[in-house]
Amino acid sequence: MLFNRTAAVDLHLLARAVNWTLPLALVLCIGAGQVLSFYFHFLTVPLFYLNLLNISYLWVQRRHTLLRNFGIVGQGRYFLESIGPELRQYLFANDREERPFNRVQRTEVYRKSRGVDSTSAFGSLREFDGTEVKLRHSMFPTSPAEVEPFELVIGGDRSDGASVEPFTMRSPLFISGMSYGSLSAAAVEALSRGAAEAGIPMNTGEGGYPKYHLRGGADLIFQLGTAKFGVRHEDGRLDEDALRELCAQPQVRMIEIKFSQGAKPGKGGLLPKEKISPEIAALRGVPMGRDVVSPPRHAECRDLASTVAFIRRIQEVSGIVTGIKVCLGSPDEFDALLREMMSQGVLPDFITVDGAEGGTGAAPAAFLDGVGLPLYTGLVTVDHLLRRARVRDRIKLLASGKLVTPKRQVQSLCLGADACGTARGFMLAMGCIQALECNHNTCPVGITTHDPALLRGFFVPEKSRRVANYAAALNKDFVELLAALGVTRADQLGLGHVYIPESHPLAATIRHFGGEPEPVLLLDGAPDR
Amino acid sequence: MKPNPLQSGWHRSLSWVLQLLVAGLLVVPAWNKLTSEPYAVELFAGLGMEPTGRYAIGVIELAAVALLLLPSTAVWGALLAFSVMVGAFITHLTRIGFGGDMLPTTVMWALVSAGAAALLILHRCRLPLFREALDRKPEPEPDDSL
Repeated sequence: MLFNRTAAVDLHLLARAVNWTLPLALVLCIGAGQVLSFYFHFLTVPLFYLNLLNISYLWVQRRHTLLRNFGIVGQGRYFLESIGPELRQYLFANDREERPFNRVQRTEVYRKSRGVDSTSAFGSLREFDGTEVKLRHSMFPTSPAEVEPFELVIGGDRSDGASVEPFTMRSPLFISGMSYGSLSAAAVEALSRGAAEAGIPMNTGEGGYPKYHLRGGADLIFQLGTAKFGVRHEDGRLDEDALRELCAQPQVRMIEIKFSQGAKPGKGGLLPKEKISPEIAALRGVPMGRDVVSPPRHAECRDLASTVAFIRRIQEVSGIVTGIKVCLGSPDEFDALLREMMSQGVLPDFITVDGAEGGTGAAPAAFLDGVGLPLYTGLVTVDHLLRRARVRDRIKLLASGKLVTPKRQVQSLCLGADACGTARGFMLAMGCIQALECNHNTCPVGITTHDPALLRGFFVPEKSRRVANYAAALNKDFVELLAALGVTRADQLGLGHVYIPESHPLAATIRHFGGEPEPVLLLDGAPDR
Repeated sequence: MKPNPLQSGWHRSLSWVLQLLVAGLLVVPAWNKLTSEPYAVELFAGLGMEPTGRYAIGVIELAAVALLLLPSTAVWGALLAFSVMVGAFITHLTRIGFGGDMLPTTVMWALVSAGAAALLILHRCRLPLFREALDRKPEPEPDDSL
């Protein structure tokens, strides 16, 4: 593109001119230094360097064709390309075209987290003839005051007759899994304090024994990753004593056994070596100087039977509410797992369905972009399979996967979730600018880096307040949306409250399961769930 | 933060030795220029750069010394020192010659140039535009500042 002969400036000619001008200018400067004034040699030296550089580009190096053909002018391309992401974000990208989160979505989170008005005017910027899922409001909205306080009880009596002390969520929101390691200690602490203030639980991510997560006093969901960081023996098997001790901590309320994760389904967690400090290595029990790659599956889970046995073992050892996290791949496989659970009489207390659109940390691009089912499809499928097996009332469904705005959160509740979480939403609330550098230890706003110079600007009390503000604003919107949909409780939400255009892939999924993508009029509430 | 290019311990030690050597040698002429030593005044008068040029070069030399003493900026110090030496070379070549009275200065020039050049080679992958000129990409070492 840079060397386009049809462009107004002939860049080939420009490059050639520069390559001749540089040595000429050097000679002229030396001459002027001798004849006119010795001061000209202040220019001779930089020109000497430029010529040296140009010669090495043109005749020494062989890696870059552009530099070998055109010399120093070719650097213009690399320079412009390197600042391209910033230029696009600041100047050229539309408000609605950036990924993963466009400017409108980010602005909504920023405004919510600052506690300022987040209404906009003069109409939606979205393409309304498009294929988006929408919420169906009622002609007879309830009033927000009529909406009952949210309450979701997870755990309690289990199908095998045992019982576990239940955990009650008072908000449909939780902070999805982010480890210390992927996040800085300060960011984790800000999240923990904010979550405690907002009264929502937070997931620890698979970052080993929680330390900074405990600082703020929030209720914790301990994520047991495939590498079992924090509760592992040297060989990667479960250390039961460590798990027991961990679960005895009053703040640790639930355990989430991670089978797969939306950012990289079918692959274990990944922490790049740049981000491993001695403390992180110690908390996880891993060496430094190498990428930490979790195995793709738990060592104990070889097949369906051993997987269900492993869930039972964790339930028994931990003694607290225990669930699993999956990003759905094959519905048949999940159905088979469900059957195995029922034949062994073991059910997880909850299932977190992670959408393939999820992902905070490092993941190979092929996995980020190309593996796993998106949240809505996965959620509807899991919900359907649980209903078909008649265990939906025993297993609570949590959803995560790009649920940063109330619209998608309430939609996920309509599509089958009992509660919903987001990780990146809370990162944005803490000031993430979507620099997309989470895997390099160079996060410019101190959230996903351990570089003290970049952490300097991250002031924990301010950020924790933003986390709490964001959660509070989401809860408020949640109540208002419920009222607009004409219901008084979250568990009245159902497929009848979402409009799914025929062209949306979800329509086919729902029809496949015998559901009704175009529901009829529902004056007295939602269909039974 | 840029990755530390120094691959091993002896590289790092060598770098420190060179940094101290170049800085130590360069601080003397810098001081002489800034304090208007007669021989420096005479030299710059001969070049037609008295006093502005003398002070400017003195300040540049002093800045190079300061930069050389910090590990993270040593490469810039070396670049600055080498630049001054290029200028000095032109002066020797065209005005004052290398031998005779100028022999001690010439030896000094050779030492500083060699030291600065060695430092530039050691830290070559830190020189921003020069990185692309290298045929093989040096392996950056993981940052040890954590």
